[in-house]
Amino acid sequence: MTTATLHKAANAGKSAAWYVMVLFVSVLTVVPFLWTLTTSFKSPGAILQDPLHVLPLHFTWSNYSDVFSTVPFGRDILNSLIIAVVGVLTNCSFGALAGYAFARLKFFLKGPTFAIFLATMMIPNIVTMVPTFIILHAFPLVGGNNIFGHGGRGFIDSLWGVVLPGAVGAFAIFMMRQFFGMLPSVLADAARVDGASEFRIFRSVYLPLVWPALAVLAIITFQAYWNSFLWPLIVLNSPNKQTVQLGLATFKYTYSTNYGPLMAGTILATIPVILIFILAQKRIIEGVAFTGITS
Amino acid sequence: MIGGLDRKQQRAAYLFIAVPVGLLILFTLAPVVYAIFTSFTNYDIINPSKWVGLSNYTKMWKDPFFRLALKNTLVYTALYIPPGLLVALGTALLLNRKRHFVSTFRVFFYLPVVASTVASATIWYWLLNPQEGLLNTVLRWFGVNGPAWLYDPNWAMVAIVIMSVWAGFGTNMLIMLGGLQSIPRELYEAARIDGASRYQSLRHVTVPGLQRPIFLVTALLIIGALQVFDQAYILTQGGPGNATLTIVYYIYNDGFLDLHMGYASAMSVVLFLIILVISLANSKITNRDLTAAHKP
Amino acid sequence: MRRLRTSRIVALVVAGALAGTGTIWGGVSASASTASSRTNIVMWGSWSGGQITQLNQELSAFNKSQSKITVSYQLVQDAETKLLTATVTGQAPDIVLWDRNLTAKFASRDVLAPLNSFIKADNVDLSRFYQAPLNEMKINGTQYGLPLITDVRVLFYNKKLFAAAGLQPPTNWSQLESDAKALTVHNSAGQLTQAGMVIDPGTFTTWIQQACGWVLNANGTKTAFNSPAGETVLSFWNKLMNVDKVYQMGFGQGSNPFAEGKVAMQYDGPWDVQGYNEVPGLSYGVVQAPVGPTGCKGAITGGFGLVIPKASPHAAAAWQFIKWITTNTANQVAMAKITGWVPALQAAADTPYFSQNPYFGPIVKAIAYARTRPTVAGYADLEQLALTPQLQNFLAGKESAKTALSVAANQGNQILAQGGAS
Repeated sequence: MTTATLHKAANAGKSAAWYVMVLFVSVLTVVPFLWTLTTSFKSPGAILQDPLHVLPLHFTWSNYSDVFSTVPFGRDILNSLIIAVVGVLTNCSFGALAGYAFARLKFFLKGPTFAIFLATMMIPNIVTMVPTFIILHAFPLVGGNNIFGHGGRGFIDSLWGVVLPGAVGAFAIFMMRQFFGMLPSVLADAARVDGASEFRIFRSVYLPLVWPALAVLAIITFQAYWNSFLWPLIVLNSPNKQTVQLGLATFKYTYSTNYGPLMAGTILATIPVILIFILAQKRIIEGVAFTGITS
Repeated sequence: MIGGLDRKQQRAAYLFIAVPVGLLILFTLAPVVYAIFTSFTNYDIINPSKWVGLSNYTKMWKDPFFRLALKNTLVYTALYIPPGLLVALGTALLLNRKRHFVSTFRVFFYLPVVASTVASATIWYWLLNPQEGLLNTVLRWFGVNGPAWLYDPNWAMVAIVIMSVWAGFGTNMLIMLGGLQSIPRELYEAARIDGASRYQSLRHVTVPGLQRPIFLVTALLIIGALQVFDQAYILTQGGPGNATLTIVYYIYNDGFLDLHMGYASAMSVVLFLIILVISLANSKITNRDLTAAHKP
Repeated sequence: MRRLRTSRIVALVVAGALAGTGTIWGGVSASASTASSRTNIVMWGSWSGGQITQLNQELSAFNKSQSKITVSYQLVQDAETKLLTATVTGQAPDIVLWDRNLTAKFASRDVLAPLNSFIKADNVDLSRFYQAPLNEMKINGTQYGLPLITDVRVLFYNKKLFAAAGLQPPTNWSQLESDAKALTVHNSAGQLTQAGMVIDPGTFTTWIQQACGWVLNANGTKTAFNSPAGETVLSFWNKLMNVDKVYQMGFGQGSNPFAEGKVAMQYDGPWDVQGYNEVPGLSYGVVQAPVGPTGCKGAITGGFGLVIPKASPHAAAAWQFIKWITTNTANQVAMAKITGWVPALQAAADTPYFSQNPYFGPIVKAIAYARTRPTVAGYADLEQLALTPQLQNFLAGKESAKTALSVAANQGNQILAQGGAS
C-alpha cells in the first residue's frame, strides 16, 4: 500500500466519521422542525388522534388558509420584518462602532462605561419593562405628545417602540468589542502615521476584518427581534401592528392549543429567519482572508 | 504630538459611542434606576407606591421560595454551562470545514434556536415521556429504568438543562464559528510546516486564538443561565414540587401576576448582584478582565 | 471633513422611507370616538379564530338593536397584562371579557368600576344567575362584573372502552376505582398503555369537596386541607396509582392521550370538546363527577365574565351592553352556543338545548352545587407554590401524605397571611 492510498483511506475514514457525527446532531435538531412541517398539513382531528405519526394520512392545506383568515398574518410578517431589519441595521452599525471604540480607542471613562453596558445585561428585564413602558409612553413630541410628554401615546403602539429599547444592545457592543480586540493594533498605528481619520481607520482597516462576526451578529439580532414576544405584547395594541409571534400566540388558548394553524404559521414564520441565516452565512463561509502582518 | 493624537482618539471615541450611550441612558439606565427605586416601595403597577424601606429585602431573607428558587437557579447554572460551552465549541469545530453540504448542516444545527417554543416543547414532552418517550425507550435497551424526567423532582432540572443546551447551542456555535474564521490561516500553515498534528494544532493554535470568543460565550452563558425563565415557564411551570422554580420565574410570577412589583424589583436587585459577583469571579478565573482595555 | 458613515446613511434612509409610510411609525390613529352621535366602546378579549366571527354577530345584533352605542371587539392577547399597562397610561378599554377569577385581584386595587349602582338603577335581579359564578365577581360585598358563560370540570369517559368492557360510567368513588381498574392495560413489558383514570393534582379542589372538605376555612384566612378530608383524597390517590396502578405521572404527555383513546376517564372541560368532536373514531361521554365515600358531591366551576375598567369614560354605555348580553335569556343562549360553554343565567341554561343535551346536561346539573376557586388574595400563589408542588411530590412518591399536607398547609398559611399586604 502506497502512502498515497493510505492517506486517501484515512481521509475517507475521517470524512465518513465526520458525516456520521454531523448527521447525528442534525437528526436531533431537525426533528421538531419536521414535526412542525408534517403537523401543519394534518387536519385538526388527525393531529389530536395521532400527533406523532410522521406522515399525514390526509394531506390538507386548510391550516395554512386558517392562519391567514384568522389573523392578518401577512401584515404580521411585514411588521416583524420591519422591526427586525431596522434592529439589525442599528445593532450592527452602532454596535460595531461602539465595540470598536471600546476595543481599540483610548478615552476617559472607557472602563466604567463598558462596565455599565455589561451590567445592564445582568438585570432581568421583567422589572424594567414597566418603567420602560412609561418612558416610551411619555416621550416628548412623539405620537401626539407635547413637549412635556403628555396628551398622546408616545412610542406606544408603534413599531419604533419595539425597536428602540434594544436598538443598540449591550450584547452587540460586547460581541463586537471581543472581535475587534482580537486584531493587532499595528494596523491602526500604521494608518495613523499615514494621517487617516479614526473613522477611516475603523471603516477601511478594521471593519472588513470582522465581517464574519458582523454576519453572526446580524443573524443573532434578527432572530432575537423576530422571536421576541413579551415586549411587543406590551407595546403594541392595534391589530395592524401585531408581530408574527403575537399572531401565532392567538392559536394558544387558555386551556388548549389549536396546533394545526399554529404549526402552519410557525413554518411560515420560520422561513424568513432561515433565509437571513443562509444569506448571512455566505460571509461566514468565505470569511476574509487575513493576510496577517509579519513584522 | 501625543496629546493631539489622544484628543483626536477621544473625540472619535465619544462620537462612536454617542448613539448607544444615549439609548442606554434613556431606555435602559432610567428604567433600571427606577426599578432599584421601586425595590424600596410597595409598587403594584397600578396605584402610587409607598416607601417601605428595606422591608422587601427582609421579606426576601425569610422567604423560603426565594431561597429555593435561588438554589434551583444556581444548580441549573452549574449544570448548564459546561455542556453549553462544549457543545457550542464542538459543533463549531465540526462545521468549520469546507465539505459538501456544510452550509446546509449549519442551517440544521441552527434550527433549534429558531424553532417555535410550542413545537420544541411538544417534541421534548414526547422525548421525555416516562412511558413511551424516546429517551427512556433507549435507556431500556441498555437495561436502565429511566426516571419520570419532567415528573420526577430529582430529575426535572436535568431534563430542563438538556433541553436548554439543545435550544441554545446554535447561537453560541455561531459566535465560535465567527471566532474560528478570524484565526489567521497563516498560523495553521506555520504549525503544519512545523509538523504539528491535528490535535496539537487544535491545542496550540485554535484554543488560544479562541480565547476571546470563549470568554464571550462563557460570560453570556453565565448571565443567561442565572436568568433562566423560558424553559421553566413552558415545560414545567416551576414544578414538579417546585424543583424547577427559578428566580426569574418567581420574579415574573410575583411581579406581573401577583402585582408585587416592589418585591420583584428587590429580588431583581439581589439577582443582579449575584450575577455580577459570579461574572467577576469568572473573569478573574479566566484571567481576562471584563473591562480591560486592549493592550497593544 | 468627516464623511457620513455609510452604515448610518443606510440606516437613515431606511428609517426615512419607513417614516414616510406614516401610520406604522407612531402615527396618530383614530382610536377615540369619532364625532358621531353613537358612543363607541371597545371590548377586549382573548377569544380568537372562528369565535370572533360569531362574537361579532352578537355584537352587531346589539348595535342594531339600539342607536346610541356601538361596541366593537378587539383581540388582545393576555388582557390581564395589557390592562395593567393600559391602566398606568389611562387608556383602558371599556369592557374586558376575561376569566372571572382575575376579577378579585384587580378589583381590590381599584382598577374596576363597581356595578352596584347600575344594578340597582336597572333593577337587575341577581338571583337569576348561578350564584357561584356571580359571587366570583363580588368582592367585599361589591359586584364588579357579571358572569357570561360557565364551565364545570366533569368526568369525560371513553364510550368505546366502557362498552367493550360492559361497564357503566361511575357514580361514586368505589365504582370509579373498579371501573378504572378494569379499564387499565399494561403491556407485556409492564408499561402502562391504557390508563383507567387520570390523576391530576390540579383537580385536588374537586376531589376534596367529594371528601366533604375544602381547601380554605370559612373566612378564607387559613388552609383547611390538612384534614381528614385531605388525607382521604390522598390515600385514595395512592390506592389508585400505586395499588391499582391505573395511572402513571406523565402518561401521554406531549399529546392528548384521551383523544388517542388511551385514557378511559379523566376530568376535563369544554375547552377540549371541539377538538374531541373532530377526532375520527373517538366516542366519548360526559357524566357528573362521582360522589365521595360519605356521599358528598364536588365540582369546580369557572368561566368568563365581563368587567368595566374604572378608567373607561363610557361606563354607562358599557353597562348597557353587559346588561343586554348577560341578563337576556336569548342572548345568553346564543353566547353559550358560540363557545360551547353553558350560560351563566339559570333560565338560559335550563332551556332544552343545554339541559337535555348529553354533554351539557351533566354540566348544568353540576353547576348547582359547584364551587369556584377561592378569590382571596394569595390563593393563586398558595395553589401554585405550596399546594400543587407538595401534591406532585406525593404523587411522585417522594413524600408521605401527612408530610405533603402539613408542609403545604404551613407554607399556605404563611402565604395567606402575607396575601393582601404588599
